[in-house]
Amino acid sequence: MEATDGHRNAESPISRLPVELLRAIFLTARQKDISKVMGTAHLLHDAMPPWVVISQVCRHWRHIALDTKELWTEIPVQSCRTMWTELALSRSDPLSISLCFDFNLAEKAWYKDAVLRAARALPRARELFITGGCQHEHSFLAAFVAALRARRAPHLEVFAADFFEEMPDDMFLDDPPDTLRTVRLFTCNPSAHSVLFRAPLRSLQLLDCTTEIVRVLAGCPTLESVLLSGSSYTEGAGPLDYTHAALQRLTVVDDFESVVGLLRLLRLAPSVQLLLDCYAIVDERTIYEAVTDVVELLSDHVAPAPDTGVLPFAYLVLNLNVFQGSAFALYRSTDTALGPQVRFSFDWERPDRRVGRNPMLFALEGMEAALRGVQTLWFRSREAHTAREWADLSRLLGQVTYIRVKGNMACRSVVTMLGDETQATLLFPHLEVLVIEHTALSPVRSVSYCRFEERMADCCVWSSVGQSIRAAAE
Amino acid sequence: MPTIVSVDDSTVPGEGSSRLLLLVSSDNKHIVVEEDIMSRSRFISKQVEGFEATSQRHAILLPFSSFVLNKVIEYCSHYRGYYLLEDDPDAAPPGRSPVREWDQEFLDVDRNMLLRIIKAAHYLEIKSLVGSCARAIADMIRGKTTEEMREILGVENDFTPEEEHSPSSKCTG
Repeated sequence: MEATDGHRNAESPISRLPVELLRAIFLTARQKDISKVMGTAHLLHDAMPPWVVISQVCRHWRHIALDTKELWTEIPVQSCRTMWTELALSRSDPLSISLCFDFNLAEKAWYKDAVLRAARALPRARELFITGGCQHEHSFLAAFVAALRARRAPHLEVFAADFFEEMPDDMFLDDPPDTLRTVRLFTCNPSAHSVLFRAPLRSLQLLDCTTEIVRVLAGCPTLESVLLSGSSYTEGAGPLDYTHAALQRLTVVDDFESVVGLLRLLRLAPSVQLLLDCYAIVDERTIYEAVTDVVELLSDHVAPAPDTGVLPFAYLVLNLNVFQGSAFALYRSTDTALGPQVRFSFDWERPDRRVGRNPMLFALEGMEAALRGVQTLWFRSREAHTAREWADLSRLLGQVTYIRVKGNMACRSVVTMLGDETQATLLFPHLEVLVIEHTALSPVRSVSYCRFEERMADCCVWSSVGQSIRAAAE
Repeated sequence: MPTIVSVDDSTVPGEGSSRLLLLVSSDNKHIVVEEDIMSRSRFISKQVEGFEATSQRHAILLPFSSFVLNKVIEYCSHYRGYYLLEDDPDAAPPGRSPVREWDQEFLDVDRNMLLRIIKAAHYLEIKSLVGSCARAIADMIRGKTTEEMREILGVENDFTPEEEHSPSSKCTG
């Protein structure tokens, strides 16, 4: 029987591809998974990495998979598969590897051993992902840092950590790898003097960190791409002339006052692409004043392009409560130096008392023209919404290209309504990006639609939910 | 190795700004195409260099059907004049590569056709097309179970029960 199946396989079109093509396909399947990793969660908790599944399809595929060292270079130190970790380390040898550790499991003695065994391969590490803290396991942290210092990971290019609150500033001693190009930290608090923030670092993401970013920038003029959210901007160094730095793209996702505070501390070159996503505009400020402030502030701190005189925005998203003078701001947006780069966002969490949760009442207030300028839906509702309400929302905001969701109820509602491609296309035909932030909601695995998947790679998706949507879509 | 046969001048239209090539498919269809279009193929480029050495005109026989060949020509025509990183890693200036969404639509074909195209692209040494096809096939299998992969790609399970159920197989692939 097996011989017959083997013969059939030899005749099947996929098996008749040259081995190097099958290898390329397997590697491509792996690459896409890795490129989307913000942290390590899906690698650590997935039952089986996809390339392992591939190797179980048939003998021919297994032979190719086992013979392709590159397939085994992404090594999650998993809770239930220590044997797999050892095998992956050996099968990938001597190639560069990506190591993923979950310190949340550090209380278990066998996991500590697994981590310290895997840490022996640090000299081969090109990427290092750490998730979780180890507040009650100081000895383990000390052992891990000692292992890191002893082996130094001389080829490390990417370092990413989340919830690693006790990260020592000098975890690489005073000599970080010259090869380090990308640092992504989420809820970590190294100081601005950490050896992580040294040239020739190219890409930095700080999310919910207390690190003083202006000091970091001052010490790291080689940075080309910086993404900040919920980090500390106002403390520390004074105004910084960053016009001669290598910075090409600055993305800030934060409340309006924080964004303004950061921009006051930086002078940027006109070549810098600015992506500002401001939410929670203070209540006492009218939207028009807020927009005017941003324009004036940027005119002072960001040099307009010499040929066009336009400020170098990729986009500026202002998340609005539409009734707070926003119509005025929307009408005037084309008059400002920001021009069409301004995107306005409709905040569904705080609708005006007069309209409650019925968006159609906006139309009754004569707001249609204003709403036509809205490109982003910032969806934070704490209520479940009916299909009728979604239909109304679609009628008013059907042009949005970007939906951002936060909170379990909001997620449930969005997933229900956008989980089906046909329905989603009817509601939001121009939708390109869906960002879902942290939530513990599990039923989102039912989502089977994501036509903007390619652009998701550029977005800040930190949750396992975002990953699930991608996985389901793929 | 490709088979190269001599052809009459009358077979190939006269030379313009871009010379013309005669490609012959496995179903014996003769397809004339500008050399510029096919310059993305390292295989064709090498053949053309060979022609220049002998100052003769030739037809290039290819081991795949005209249907597949026309798809490849369509791809090369679409990206004519563009630098694609995979094909021109040293020459590609930033910002010149077009958005590759077109590839997804272009490769929205049935499984067997997709496999024929990647094989042809591999033969013709068009790395960008090989990469796009590999992505399309990888998209078909990513996130799928072993059983689903077998069904999608028409592969039979040829493991013995012992191989399939052994702990090492489950754990290590």
